[in-house]
Amino acid sequence: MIHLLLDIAPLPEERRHWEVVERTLRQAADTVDTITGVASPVADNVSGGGHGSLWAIIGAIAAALAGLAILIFMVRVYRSRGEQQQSFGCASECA
Amino acid sequence: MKRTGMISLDWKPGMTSALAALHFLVDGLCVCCLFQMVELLGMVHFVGLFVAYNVVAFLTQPLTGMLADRLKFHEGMLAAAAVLLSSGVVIASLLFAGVWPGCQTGSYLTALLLGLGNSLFHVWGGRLLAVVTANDARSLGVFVSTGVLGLTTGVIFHSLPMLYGYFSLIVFLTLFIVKSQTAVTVASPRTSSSRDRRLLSPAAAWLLVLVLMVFVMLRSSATEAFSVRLDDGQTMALAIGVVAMSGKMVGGWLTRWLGASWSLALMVFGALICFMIGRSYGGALLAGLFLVNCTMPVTLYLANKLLPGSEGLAFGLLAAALMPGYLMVRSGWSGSGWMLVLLMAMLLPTVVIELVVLWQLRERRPEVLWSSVVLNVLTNVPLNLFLLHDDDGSFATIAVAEAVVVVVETLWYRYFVGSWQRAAVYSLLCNGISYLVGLLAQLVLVLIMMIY
Repeated sequence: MIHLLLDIAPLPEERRHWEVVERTLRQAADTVDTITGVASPVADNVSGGGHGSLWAIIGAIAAALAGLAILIFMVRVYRSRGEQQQSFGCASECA
Repeated sequence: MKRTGMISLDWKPGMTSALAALHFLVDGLCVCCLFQMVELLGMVHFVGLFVAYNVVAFLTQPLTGMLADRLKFHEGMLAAAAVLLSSGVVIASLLFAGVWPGCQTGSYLTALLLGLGNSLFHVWGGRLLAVVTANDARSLGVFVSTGVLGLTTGVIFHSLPMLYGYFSLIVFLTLFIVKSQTAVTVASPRTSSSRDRRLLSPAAAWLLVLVLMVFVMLRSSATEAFSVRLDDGQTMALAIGVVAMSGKMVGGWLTRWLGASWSLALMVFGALICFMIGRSYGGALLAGLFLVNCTMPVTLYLANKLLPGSEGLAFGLLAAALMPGYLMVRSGWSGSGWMLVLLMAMLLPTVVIELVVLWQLRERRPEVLWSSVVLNVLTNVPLNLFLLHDDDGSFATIAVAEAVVVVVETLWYRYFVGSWQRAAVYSLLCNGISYLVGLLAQLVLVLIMMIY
């Protein structure tokens, strides 16, 4: 999701610090993907009536929270980008 | 073609009848073809094929409706519908001929092609009639009425001769309509004249469209409830089809004579009385079914009034709103009140989250915000019905279903915001956040259950 967002609508290129932010976001997204990939099958098992590991559930919650935090951060980023450019979302088209 | 906002009227009175006849044939063809495939593959595929067909045929109509509103050459839409239906019939014929014995992929592909062809045809016809007849409820009623009889004949009399007979007539009528109406030019909707025709502010208009959609959902449930309570059997099924068709047709005339408000009040009041006394008198159920169906042209007429210049979208929204009510009754869930509460409990947070995200993204246009509410009703309710029905549903299933919703929402927002990139950002962020919040809530519940 986060990778897709960054690919479809990349952060503004004209400000150098966004490159660092984008790189950090991609690394964070990788981590979330990894944790979710490990924890989701266990969560499925538990919600389906099986017995999963408590730590796997906590891991899945941590991944979901991390993903949520990243997306909320991206809302703020795109919002500030919208303020910088009169026409939101046209970074590449207006360049 | 220059966008003038004008409509060239060369509409012959017989054209409404031709469109209604085509509606009868298209719906009949699709159902006939699906039943033939069920006979070929076995009843185990009945639900899957019909769900695939209905979802594509109904839930895509808001999108195909938006497309119809944008197209300059609307005959192309009828041609595309004809091509898709023909492709479906060709693949089905190959399956019937035993070219791919037991091929399930071919069957589902046929269902999807028929569904999409049907979707294109409906919004094309609904929009064309609304525009060229200046939203005449009688014409709308005549057009929409024949579909239900087509479905009934398809269900009862399905056979290969019928399939190819209907298909031949569709080809003939399509050519006749395209040839006859070449002089009819339907204007592009996004013109200043169509905006000038708005009766209400965008926010109020979309709020009322939402109310109409909820009404259509309830009406769909009521129609199914009336039908389910009536005895089974071919004669009764045919009677239900004729009564429903008559109701839709008469509803258009009543709307014209009494006005939308009075006729709607009369129909709803009458239908409620019929439903209450229906346990004692079987005839009252048929009368109730008639009155419920009378409301169809009224809601279409009102939706077109609320969204002038977007008649395709208006038609598509009401058509899509039929599905949740239909699914709930057919799944046997309408009787359990808690299911409605559960669906609302899942819908409301999604709506709120999406509105908050859009607001945070500095989106202030009322039509975008309200349309997001409408969109969530259309996508969230069927999605959750599917997930509740699917006992084996896992987080991965939800993720795949969410991905489909993301694509649909991107197309939807593209229509309103005019930029693919912006539409994708809206869709991805709204759905990503609502998905993760839902996932988080489920995980926390699981955690609590594990601890205690």
